[in-house]
Amino acid sequence: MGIAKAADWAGTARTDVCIIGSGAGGGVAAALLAEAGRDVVVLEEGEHVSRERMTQREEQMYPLLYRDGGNQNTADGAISVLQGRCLGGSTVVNMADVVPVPQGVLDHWREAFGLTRYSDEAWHKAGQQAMEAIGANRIPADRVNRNGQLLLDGAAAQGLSGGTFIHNRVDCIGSGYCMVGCAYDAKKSVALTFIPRALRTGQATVVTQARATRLDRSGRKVTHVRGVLSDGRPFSVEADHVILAAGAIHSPLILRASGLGGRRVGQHLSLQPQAPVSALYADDVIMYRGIPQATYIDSTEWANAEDGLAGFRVENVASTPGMAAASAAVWGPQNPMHYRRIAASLCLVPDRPGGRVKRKRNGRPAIQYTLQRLWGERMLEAIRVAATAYLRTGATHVTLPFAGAQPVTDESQLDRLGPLRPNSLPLISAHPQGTCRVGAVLEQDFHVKGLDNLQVLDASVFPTTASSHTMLPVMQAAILGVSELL
Amino acid sequence: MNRRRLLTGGLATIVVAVGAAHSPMSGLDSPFLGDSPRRTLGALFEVMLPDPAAAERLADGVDAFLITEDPLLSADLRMALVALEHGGLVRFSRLSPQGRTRRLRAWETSPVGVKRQIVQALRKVAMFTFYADPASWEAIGYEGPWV
Repeated sequence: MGIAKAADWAGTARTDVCIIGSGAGGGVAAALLAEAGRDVVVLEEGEHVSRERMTQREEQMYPLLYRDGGNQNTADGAISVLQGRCLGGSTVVNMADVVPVPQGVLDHWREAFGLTRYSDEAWHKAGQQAMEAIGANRIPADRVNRNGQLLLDGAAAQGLSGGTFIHNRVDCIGSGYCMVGCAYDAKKSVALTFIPRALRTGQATVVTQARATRLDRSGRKVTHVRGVLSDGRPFSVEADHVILAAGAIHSPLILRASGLGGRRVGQHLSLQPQAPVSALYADDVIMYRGIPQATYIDSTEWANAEDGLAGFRVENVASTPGMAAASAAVWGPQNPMHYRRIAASLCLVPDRPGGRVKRKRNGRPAIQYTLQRLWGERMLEAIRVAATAYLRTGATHVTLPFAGAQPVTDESQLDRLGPLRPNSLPLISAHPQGTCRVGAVLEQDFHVKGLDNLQVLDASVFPTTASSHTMLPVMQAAILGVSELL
Repeated sequence: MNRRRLLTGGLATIVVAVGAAHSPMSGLDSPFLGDSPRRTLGALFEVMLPDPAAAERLADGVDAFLITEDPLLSADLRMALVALEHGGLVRFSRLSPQGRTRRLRAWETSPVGVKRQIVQALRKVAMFTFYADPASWEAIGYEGPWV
């Protein structure tokens, strides 16, 4: 029991429950099942990166903490799809935003998809349980840095409103390096909360650098999880129950490789695309110190039974120099980055399922996604809101995310924003969802249809986008899914 | 040209390039890209980077670093450079700096998606490589990591 590296593991095991993935879904499931007395084996493809290894150097941490070193993109290269690949998964590299499934989304799932197995109360209770476990708390106003405050002030100047996030940082010192892992253990990721809980029971074994590739089936049951260790050796875990929690891009790949789940596996992908907007001020902003994502504009977003989560939101953001520069659509000796004087935000559009994940011959994912016109229009409106916020708070100019765009110095220039084209702006997705969704691939208790002992518990289960930030919704789903086994 | 094969996207090559800034210069012929793509990369960096004087050093670093990288991803970068080099009547690396800039500006807003894709990806490589390099930090007022 404990955390084993691939090189130190025999490569075979027999267990009550095998969990593929150690992020918001797998980590939560591991803790709850181990605490209930089940023997659990958790398989994590990435490494266990403790705080001593968090160097705050982006060129070192992206390869260590992110899926494909941050290299994962849609097939046409238009959208960077960021996911963690380490013990704790994306909870190690995210912005620590805690946003439960809104009531309107629950209403939508019930009315449009007939999801009635879990009551609203059960979802809310699961959310509270997860929030307590990860130390969730509201960011106080005095911890908002200038970057975050400019967005709130700019919202008020337009008659819009927003607030500060609930986050899962505790005793944060504000170094600002959340996206490349917290070197101070202030961000209470799954690797620092649920995984240790699982290990403390003595019932759990976590194997890192173990990539699951295939599930063996016999009748209505999965019998074995098979894969390969980082040193090239194959492994096999025999389990009574299997939980697939490899995320919305890779869970469908494993089902596809195993011939499980039916033809709709991989469909219904939502990416929740985000576009960056930055602005230059005459004096220092220093966006990169303090809490890097603390505030948002959300009066432009709604959730109801008809639409689910819809509209758009704008959130302040900061990142390390290389990533900040790469995210802006400007280049050349005439356009140096004024890192200290920049404010930045991300425009987030909750989309509807429309993409898909296919498995290429080499086993890698082909993420196929087209930004539909309505989401493009909302993205443009979000960009206008962000740019207006900055211009009304004294920015000398705003840099829009369009290739070749000239700096915006006056609001009248925002009236002429053209239609969006693929590859014409640097979009990011940090919240892929829906590729094994309930109703299509899964029963309402998250079991794969036709199988008695295989559940999926990650962001791929959601019928439509669950929230503007998926960590807590995944935890909620995991808690509800595991309750079926207890 | 196989569009899917051509660059898995912007960040794909970014991280490939990232470590490059900190790799020792080879001082020899191109160790990975081959002389022609390496020449294209240097010519690209010269017009894309905020400091043209850093172009050859960082391009050398990228080239050396690619040897240790995922072959699929590294091949993507080479393919993009080849496409850029031969994507006009005059080879990219033989254009004047002004000519290179004009070609890149035309490609980044081209109606041809692959051209936009190439410029997006190479821009990210260039900008990430430059600003992840500690040598660039003083000029932008970044104090560097706390640990």
